[in-house]
Amino acid sequence: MNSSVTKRLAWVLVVAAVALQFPLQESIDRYRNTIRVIMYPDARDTDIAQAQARFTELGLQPKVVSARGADGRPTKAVLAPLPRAEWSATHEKYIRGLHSVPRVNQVVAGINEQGIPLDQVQQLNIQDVGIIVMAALIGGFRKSAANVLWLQNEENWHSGKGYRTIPLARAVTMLDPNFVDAWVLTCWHLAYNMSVEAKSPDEAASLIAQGLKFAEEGIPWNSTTYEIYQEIGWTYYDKLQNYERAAEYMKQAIEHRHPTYLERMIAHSYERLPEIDKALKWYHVSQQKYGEADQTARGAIETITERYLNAWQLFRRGDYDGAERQLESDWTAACERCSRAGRTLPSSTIYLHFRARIAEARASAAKGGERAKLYEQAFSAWMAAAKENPSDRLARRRVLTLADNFGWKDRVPKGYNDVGLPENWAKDLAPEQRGRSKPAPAPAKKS
Amino acid sequence: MQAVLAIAKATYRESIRQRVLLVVLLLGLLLIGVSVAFSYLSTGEEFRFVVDFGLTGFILIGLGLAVILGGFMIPTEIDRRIVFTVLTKPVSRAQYLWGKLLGAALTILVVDVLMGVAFVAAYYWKQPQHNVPLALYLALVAVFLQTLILLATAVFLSTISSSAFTVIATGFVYIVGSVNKYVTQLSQRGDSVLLKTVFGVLAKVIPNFQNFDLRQALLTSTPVDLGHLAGPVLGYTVVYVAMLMALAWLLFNEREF
Repeated sequence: MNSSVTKRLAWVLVVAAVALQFPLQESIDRYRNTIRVIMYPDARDTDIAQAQARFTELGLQPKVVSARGADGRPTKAVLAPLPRAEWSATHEKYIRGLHSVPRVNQVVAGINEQGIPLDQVQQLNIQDVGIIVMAALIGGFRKSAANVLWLQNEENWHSGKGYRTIPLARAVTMLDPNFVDAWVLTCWHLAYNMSVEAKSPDEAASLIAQGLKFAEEGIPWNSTTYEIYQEIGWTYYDKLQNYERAAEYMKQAIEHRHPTYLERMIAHSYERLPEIDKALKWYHVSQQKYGEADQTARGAIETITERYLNAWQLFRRGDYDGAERQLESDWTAACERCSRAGRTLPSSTIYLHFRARIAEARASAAKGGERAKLYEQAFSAWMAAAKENPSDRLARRRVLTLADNFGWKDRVPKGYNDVGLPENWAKDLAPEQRGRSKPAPAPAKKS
Repeated sequence: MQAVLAIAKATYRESIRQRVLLVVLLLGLLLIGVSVAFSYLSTGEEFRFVVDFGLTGFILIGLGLAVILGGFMIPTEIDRRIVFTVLTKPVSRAQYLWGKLLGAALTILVVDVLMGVAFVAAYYWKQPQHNVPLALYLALVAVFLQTLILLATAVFLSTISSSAFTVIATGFVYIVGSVNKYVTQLSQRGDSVLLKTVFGVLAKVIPNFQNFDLRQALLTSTPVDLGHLAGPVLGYTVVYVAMLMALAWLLFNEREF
């Protein structure tokens, strides 16, 4: 063949290859950005249709294909390609709730390794970890680098350098965002370990909030597992005693494969608020799901029903006086039953919370001068609950909120807080940390 | 075709006799062994560690082989004037280049198969259910395809430059191709128009090696279709190898010895 013709053919090949590369890349990207819902082999058509409907509602165009499950058995899968605009975003909103569709075996949020935004890289302390991070991103030993940093993080923590936890943990999660323990343990370090060493309630609250925020960032990467939702839910439940938020996160956790106690945790959260009807509903859910094995739910249904349900129904109807009377009568009867049977008296937390809630509801329904007086009663009720149980942070939070709203700060003991610091938190601090001037050094003794 | 196969056979024979190849193979096996030994550092995640470390070792050994074979075989033959002996025979320059590429690819395949056996054994040992999914084999094939593109890049660069430049430039292509998404982000977010243009061109021209990275799928137990690898990913490899070899031929053809 003529040399010039061959050359032309070679150039045509180069141009054709360049042109072909784009649709091929598009096809690969589309594949890597497709959400897959793999059903169990015995899934019914209605289950598959339900999974399809979830995607259609979100504006995607799902299709059903034959596939193989994790165990290798033939089954059906629903594929939902994401629109191009969503390729660089996290896929969480599309997969949330899919596990609640019956007979769903596995939800795969695409194999696209979602890009770590560059602004996160900039947040790192470059001297500490930036070089390792960049080397690992390029070199590929991401998991190994993450492990090394995680070990360093543990060492820092145990040698009292807890303040270095955040940049290192951020580097670890950047290298290996599917390392669930890194998100969960960092949240725990901040919310539980570092917050108790805080120098003020504000600082403690900020550390708890930082821990929760950090764990929240891990959700898009690990939204198909329950662990991070559970950790956030537990921090709200136990550390902040914000039971509404706790229940929200626990509900998200149970959408994935989870331990059997999580349904009960939702019920416990509502019980402590209290929201008696919701608590009962979730105890029933737990009992139905796990049967007779769940003795805790069975016992809780009995005690809640006899102690609080009647009063709760009156409360929901707006009969606050009736609810209060009923609560006192049922509670007294329950205590007497325990005394007669020689059992220890039940914890009064829920009873006291319920009393305080009735008082608050009554106050919010009142008008004029009566309103302030009734709120004062609610304040006293919460204060009583907090006095009965010093670690009752819900009661303490309500005390502080009401004191703030009505100008009763002088009625709140000094150092009172709702973040778990002792009331004498300022006592052990050096004078300059309490905001006072440093005392002059003592004159040197003459020899 | 016979000429291509003859050159490929000769290249393969010459390559496997090189001691450096044995060293690279031992290094690869060592990396897989180390991944198993070090996995205990990662309590509760030993299996994930083996996958990440082992596959990364595979990728880096592939890069090393592509650079050593692709970057040195043609310049060495030019320096030693062996190329004259070959090209005076009824062998075209295109056949010579394709023969060299195929021979080197075969050598890499042999090393990858040997390392692959060790890696699959390590995976089987560490995987909690002792189950080796199809995705693992596909991941290994994907790494081999990526190595082919790197090899073609090294062959292309070696036709116009020295071995040292080829090694550096192939390494650069690997780095940019491995962080393609960040290069794309830089091309969209940068302040300077010039930098945005440079990063934009790099992101489009340099092959996107993230297309071959199935580590995330393996780590998250995501099934990967054979059709995906046999279709677009293989197509992407063929397109890039063909383009690089055509460019290599265009430059090599003009070269006077």
